[in-house]
Amino acid sequence: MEQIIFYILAAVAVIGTVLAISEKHPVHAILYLVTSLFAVAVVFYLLMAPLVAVFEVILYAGAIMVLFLFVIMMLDLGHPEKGFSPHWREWLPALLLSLVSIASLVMVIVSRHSQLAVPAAQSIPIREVSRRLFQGHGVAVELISLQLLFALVGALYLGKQQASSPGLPPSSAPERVSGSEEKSP
Amino acid sequence: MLGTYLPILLVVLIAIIFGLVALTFSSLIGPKKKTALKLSPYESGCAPVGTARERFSIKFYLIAMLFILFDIEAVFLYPWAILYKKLGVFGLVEMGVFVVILFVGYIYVWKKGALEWE
Amino acid sequence: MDMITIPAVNMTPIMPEIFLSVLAMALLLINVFVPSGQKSYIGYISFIGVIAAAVLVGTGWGMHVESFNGAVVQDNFASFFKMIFLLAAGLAILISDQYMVREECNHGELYPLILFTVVGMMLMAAGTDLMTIFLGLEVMSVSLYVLAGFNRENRKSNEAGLKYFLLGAFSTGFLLYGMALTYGATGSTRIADIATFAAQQSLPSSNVMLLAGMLLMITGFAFKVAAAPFHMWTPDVYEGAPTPMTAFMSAGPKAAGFAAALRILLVSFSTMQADWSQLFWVLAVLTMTVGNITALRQDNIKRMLAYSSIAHAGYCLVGFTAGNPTGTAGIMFYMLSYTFMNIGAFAIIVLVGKKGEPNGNVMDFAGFGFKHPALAVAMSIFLFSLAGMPPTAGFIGKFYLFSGAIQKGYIWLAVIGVLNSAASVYYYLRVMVYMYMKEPTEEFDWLQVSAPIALSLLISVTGTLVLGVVPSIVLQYAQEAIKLI
Repeated sequence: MEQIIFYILAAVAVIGTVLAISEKHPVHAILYLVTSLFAVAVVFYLLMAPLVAVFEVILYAGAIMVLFLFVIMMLDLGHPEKGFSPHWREWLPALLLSLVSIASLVMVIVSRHSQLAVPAAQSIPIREVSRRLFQGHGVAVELISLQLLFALVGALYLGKQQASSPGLPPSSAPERVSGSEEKSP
Repeated sequence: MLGTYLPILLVVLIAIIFGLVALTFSSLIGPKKKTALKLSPYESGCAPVGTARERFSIKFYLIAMLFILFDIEAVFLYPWAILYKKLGVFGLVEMGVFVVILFVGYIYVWKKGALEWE
Repeated sequence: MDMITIPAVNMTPIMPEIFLSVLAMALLLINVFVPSGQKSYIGYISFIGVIAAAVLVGTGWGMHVESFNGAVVQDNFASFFKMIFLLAAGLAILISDQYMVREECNHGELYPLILFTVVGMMLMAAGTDLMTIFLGLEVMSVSLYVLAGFNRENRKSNEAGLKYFLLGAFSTGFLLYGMALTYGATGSTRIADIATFAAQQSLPSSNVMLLAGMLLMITGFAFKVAAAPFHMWTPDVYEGAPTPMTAFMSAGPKAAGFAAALRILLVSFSTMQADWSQLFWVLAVLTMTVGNITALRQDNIKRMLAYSSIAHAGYCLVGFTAGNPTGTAGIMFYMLSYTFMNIGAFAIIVLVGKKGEPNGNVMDFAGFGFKHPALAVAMSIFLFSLAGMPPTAGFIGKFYLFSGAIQKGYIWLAVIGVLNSAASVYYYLRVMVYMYMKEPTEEFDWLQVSAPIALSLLISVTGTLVLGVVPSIVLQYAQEAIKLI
């Protein structure tokens, strides 16, 4: 039963991510990504890691997607859905790369199944997570807060507009829109 | 383990059903008068002005960024709060430093004027 | 579950890190609470702070202290690299002020960010846990992205920051995936535990998950140290970033990447050395060759030094391939020498650049030797050292790297390295030809050499020459450090 749910969710996550990349409308792409993240969150829950599942929803599907949305609003992409799809040849390097990583993942899974018996799933209570976190990774926790501090400083520094600067030119012309986002990879 | 979350699942289900029922009944029973004004997109009760596709200020982005950073702070406070008593002084110092560091960030943001909407 | 043993918290190993973090935060607050245009004093305070941190690191030499349940360690290996980072940061701080004032970009955030980068690098060198190393790397990278784009009014700098961020995030993905797979295979993120696990396996390289984890980690580090074929970001980022930050980026973070990779490979994966040696052989040859051949055709001097920096990473990878004490101590010695000579060369570029067009061309050096004989001599020393000519530090460093490879039987690798070195002489000497054999194309203004830059040049020249003439005073420390890793 749980295995079936897992495969369904995994399929949802993968298809959602693929659609998030191929979808030309950025807001739709974000919605696909949210779908995918929700699926991943439930997978974490199935893997007996409820805390990670909750954080996945709160942080990724919640906060980070809002950030993505703001970036899209900031960029003013116009009507990207009317742009051209990249030719299949432009997809080729990305496809090759993803094939390689999928192949390596398959190899890892296969070798793991042949080598080790899968340990019986046991739920990881939040207390255990927190014990591990503070016992073994005290430095890491402090580092994360330092990193957050300086990410904040960096974002504010780079994002602050100079009063003297003329600012960016106003709204874009439609020509610029024709899928510069999709062509880059 | 999964069973302990059953009540939450029930609450979610009831919430969904409640929403669905309300929507279905209002669309079934309620009167429908399709005028141009009623079919136009809702924009805080005002008549829609211009297109929604325009460049938004980077300030929104900065606010979202701030939100995420303090969101992540909460993520680390939660596991600490659960083990608060057992971690004792070590945990208190650890989290104290954590919060103080982020508080420095907060002061920086404040003094830089990022919280003000010029 | 009921008992929670609080780890023995010993602050000594991370004293320099704590000191620099507190200093960085204090300077950050001073910066916002004292709103004045003049920000140079923040630079001076941070320079003094760097010296104090170096003293802290120095007093810990010879001790071996683990802390936080084995997440960080203080050993000579870490201390040696910490000294390199502090040196790079100190020199970068010294050359920053004049540049930033000239480019009207002297914002006080610069120095806290540099200090914070150093904290990240130090934890990469001192981390004995994959989590600590990863977070150290992220701390370093996030600050570096901002530093690369620090001149926010300049489009080239914006481009550098963005490109560095995108590719850096991409490479971080590789590294993290590799760490996750390693954790999955071994059940621990502690470097020593991974080593124990690998030692128990009869043939560790047949454990595909462990092998894949190691390979992905190597890929991630190869991105960070700009080894070919993962070097594409380097020229654009190095060209666009503010020159003092380019100098810093080419020395410090590269050394940090090598430090973390050395510790992981030599401790965790020592039983798999046969596997990763082969890989590094290919990486080293590719990196040296691509860097040197592309550098031959560059007219922009920052781009040229960017490609040269790729080539120098290649020389260090020769030391990785050897993996023996001579080679690995050679890496440490070489990174120290490279810090002196490369930041010195960049200091001269800072001086030669003009307001608004700080990215000089090789042609800008025409006639430099007659107008500014002292600076030209200093530049010549740095270029000679970069080309690997005696009696400079670059020669000795290469000598140890290549002799390490020869000891291990990689004769051909050493030959390729020497050939590459010979090719590199062309583009370094080209600058000198312009300095001494061409007439100046335009009237030189009398360059203003501020006291901090003069001090940094003095330190760099002294370092380059002293390491070249009496290398043993530093090399013995490097060898001592690598023994106890």
